[in-house]
This record gives sequence, structure tokens and C-alpha cells, in this order.
Amino acid sequence: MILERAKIGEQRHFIEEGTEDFYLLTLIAPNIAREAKPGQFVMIKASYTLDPFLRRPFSIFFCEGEKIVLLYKVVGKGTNLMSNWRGGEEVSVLGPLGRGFQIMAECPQWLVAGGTGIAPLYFLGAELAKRGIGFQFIWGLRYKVAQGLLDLLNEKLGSLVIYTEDGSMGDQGLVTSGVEALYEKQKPAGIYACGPWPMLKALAFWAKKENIPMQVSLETQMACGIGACLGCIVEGKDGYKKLCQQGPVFKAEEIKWER
Amino acid sequence: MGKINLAVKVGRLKLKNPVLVASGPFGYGEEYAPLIDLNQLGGIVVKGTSLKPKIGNPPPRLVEVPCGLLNAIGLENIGVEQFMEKKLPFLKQFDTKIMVNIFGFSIDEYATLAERLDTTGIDALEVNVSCPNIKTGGKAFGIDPKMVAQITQVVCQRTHLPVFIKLSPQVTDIVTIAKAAMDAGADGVSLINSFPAMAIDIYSGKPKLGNITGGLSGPCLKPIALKMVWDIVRNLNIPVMGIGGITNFEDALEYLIVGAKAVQIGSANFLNPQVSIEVINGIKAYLDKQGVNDINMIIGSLKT
Repeated sequence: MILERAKIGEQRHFIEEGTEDFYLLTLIAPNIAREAKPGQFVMIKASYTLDPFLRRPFSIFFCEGEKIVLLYKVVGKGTNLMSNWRGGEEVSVLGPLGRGFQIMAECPQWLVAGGTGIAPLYFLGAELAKRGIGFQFIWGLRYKVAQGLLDLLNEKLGSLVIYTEDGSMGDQGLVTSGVEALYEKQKPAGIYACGPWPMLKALAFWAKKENIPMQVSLETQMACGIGACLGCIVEGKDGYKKLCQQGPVFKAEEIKWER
Repeated sequence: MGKINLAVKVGRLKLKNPVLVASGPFGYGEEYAPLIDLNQLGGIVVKGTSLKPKIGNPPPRLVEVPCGLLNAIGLENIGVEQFMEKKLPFLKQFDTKIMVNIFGFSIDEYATLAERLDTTGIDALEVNVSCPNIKTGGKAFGIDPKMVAQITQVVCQRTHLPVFIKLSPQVTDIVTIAKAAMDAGADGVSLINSFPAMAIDIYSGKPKLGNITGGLSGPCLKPIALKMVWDIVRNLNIPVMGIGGITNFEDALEYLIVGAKAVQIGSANFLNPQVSIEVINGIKAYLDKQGVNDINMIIGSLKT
């Protein structure tokens, strides 16, 4: 775990008419980049002022050399400020934090993402590709994304199965129905998933029924990121778990999905 | 920079500098050890510790508000026995004062905790009196001067350690409460604890915290806390530790100038894990610039 002054490299905004918009932010943080593993996260101070107050947690989208790359959407004050970073600024980054994915060697693996839940899974997919572990990537979105982002994803992940709620890209429907359709053709040895709670919950129940090992990356409100404040707990089947330290990646069966 | 004295005495407790980290946000200290040199701190106030382990509140436990944070952790902790076995040995390696924050749900629990921690090699006790008293139907101990006096007395009888009573801000007159603690033998008071508060999700119509209400901390509290410290130091002769919204050395100096003998830094550790070290260095640089070689010249120097 390292507290590093990172320099903003570049920031790309993927937006076209009628697309969901995503930001891709590159940070120069050599010490964190050297240690980071798929599924780990960083905490960023979005402003030197006191509002927003806390750091913001982001799964690492990718690491290369001295660079950490984050993929995010503007959802509030912190990400709104970050979206204005143009490069050259310095920001405080704490990381790499938490426990990442435990890589399963059996093929094929399925990587199932919902919305910005793609962030940790892209890093994982790149790692699996490097290790020669075959995988299928499935991404669910509300509507289509910009071609530039898709090109970038294809580079490391190969072809993706995409589901959109409005059918504007890929197949129409929820990612969970995509998983069931794909299951007709292929049986996965394991699943890694990240996305909204209802999606993860549905997938977790399905994977359990089909007896497929599954890991999920979760998110919640967080203050310290290092296991001190106990603010980020999630309900596990055997009691509360610190998401920042015992997660953010958990085995699906560890989590109490009914809320 | 010439030789500058930062050492202070807070009652019987001697600190090498007036900057401690507050109970709660700093966990058991070990979490921050990879990020800062704990030896540089004036002291560490350990997370609230109870007789038995406590599970804490259901999530969500945190809500950010402008310039502050609402929390409802629910005093989750591993209990005093596990603390002594698993956490204290690590903390003892460092050249800093260890103050353990204790809380109970009856006077007896406070007494037992004080006794249990007395000869463990820690340096002081901080007593959280903001908990509900289960014997009187859950009314908080800290709002009643008689209860505060009783807890203080019982704790002081069971320990030789310096005892600080941590005060809740949600009282009609904080001076009365502080006086009750002082008269009952406390070495000092620390204030303020977080302020009871809540936040609502207008779309779900539900509270944002799993516990419905929580405690507000952070810079939005600082002016309130500062005034309460001022109320106590000008009315009573009792050492005070100032707590509430300190995020930099200027904030810390405000408390010291008003008359706090030391300060504790809480939620700012979240934004900047190195904040306490920066505050210590900032105070030193300030004294140097002002041509003052002893922090004690600054403490209580408020001109009114």
C-alpha cells in the first residue's frame, strides 16, 4: 500500500450521439502501478478542498509500466471534478488496495460486467490473455458506447458479447439473460463478475444452481480504504466483512445476497 | 530552525507533541503503520473498546456530507481481551503514547474495563460517555452530570492511569458536564465526540444510514467544537484535548490558542493518512516563523 503523488497523464472522454459516456483517465504512479493486481483498487482525492470530503475508490482498469488507468462515469461531485482534469495536474493516490481476483486456471472463464463494472474485469481479462487462459467477456449496458471505447476493449479482450437494455448495441436485454443464452453453447469453468447489486445477486444464484465457482467485485461507501474505519462492511454469510481489506473481490457464496 | 519545544503536559499525561490521532478513524494504528511513522505522533487514541466484542451496525455505515462525514459504525470492536492479546503488543513497539478509548453499557462495565487495562503498559484511558445506559432505559450517560461523575469516579478508582472523559456535544451545557468529570477526579476532558445527525435518500424515502442516525464529524463541526473548548477553558481549570474537524496545522493551532493542551485528529486521516505528521511539522514551522520556541507559549494565548 503506497500513498503516491501521481501526475495526470491524459484523459479521454468517450461520448458520441446516443451513447453512454465514459472517461478514461491515465495517472502516472510508478510505485502503485508496479504492485497492482487485477481486482485491486485505488483511492483518489478528487480535490484539495474539503468538499468532496473523502477520497473516492476506483477499481484499476489497467496498469502498464508507470501508468494506472481508470475507467469511470460521472456520478457525483468527485467524478465531476475529475472529469475536468486535462493532464499535468498532480493528485494524491492511495493504492493498490484490497484483495484482487484469485485467478482460476481452468478454461473457459466468463467475465461478466455490468456498466462501469467493466473496470476491474478489463484488467483481469488482459491478465488472463497474457497467461493464455481462455475466456469469454460479456458486458451489459443500458445503451450503446462509443466506438473508440469498444476498439480499446477489443484490443486486449478480443470480441465481447454485448447486451444493451434498449438494443442499441449488441443484443437487447439484461446481461443475465445473455449469460443464460451463452450457457446453451458453452459451459464456463468459472465466473468473475462486477456490476450493480441486482445483477450480481441474480448471477450468484444462477451460478450456485449450475454449480459454477464465481468471484464478485463489490462496491460500497468507503472512508479509509485500509481496514481501519469499518465503514465499508458488507454482510457475509458468516458475519460482516471489510470490503476494503477482505474484498473488494469475494467468492459469491461468501456474500449474503438477500437484503 | 532553532530548537523548538513541542512537548506538553495534559494533566499527568506527558506528550512529546500536542498532536494525537482520535479514536475510531485510526483503528488500532497498525492499519496506518505502512503509511506513516507512528513514532512521530504525540499519541494514538485506540478505537473504542468494550468488555466483549461488538458487531456494530448494519450497513450503510457512512454518508458523506459537505465538508464532513456521517458515520454509524456502531462501535464495532474486538473487545478488550483480544485488543490486549492481538493489537496492543504491536502498538507498544512505538515511541508514542497509547490512550485506549473505553465504553460500556453500565457503570460496572466501565469499572471492569478500567481495571483490566490498568497494568497493561498503556499510558492513559479515554472514557466515551456517549453510550446509552441500558439500566436507565438507554438514556446516554454523557448528558447527565451525575452519571458522568459516577463513571469518572469509578474509573479513576480502578486505575492509576490518567483518565480523560470524552464529551458529547449534544448537551445543554457542556461546562456542567466537564465540571462533573473534573470534580470526580478526571485528569482532563476531550471534546467533542461526533454530533448526532442524519441524512435521507429522497428517492427511496429511507435514511441513508442503516442505523437511521449517526454521528457527524469533519471540518463542518470545527467552529462548534472550538467554541465548546473555549467555554470549558475559560470557566474551569481542567486540561482539555480539542477534537473536531482538524485537517491542517492552522486548525490545530486554533484549538491550542483557545486553550486546548493537545488536539486529536479524526476523520481527516481518511483524506490524508499523513495529516497528523503534516500538522506536527506545520506547528513547528509556525512557531519558528513567529519566533516562539515553546508550544506552551501559544496554548491559551487567545487575545480577547
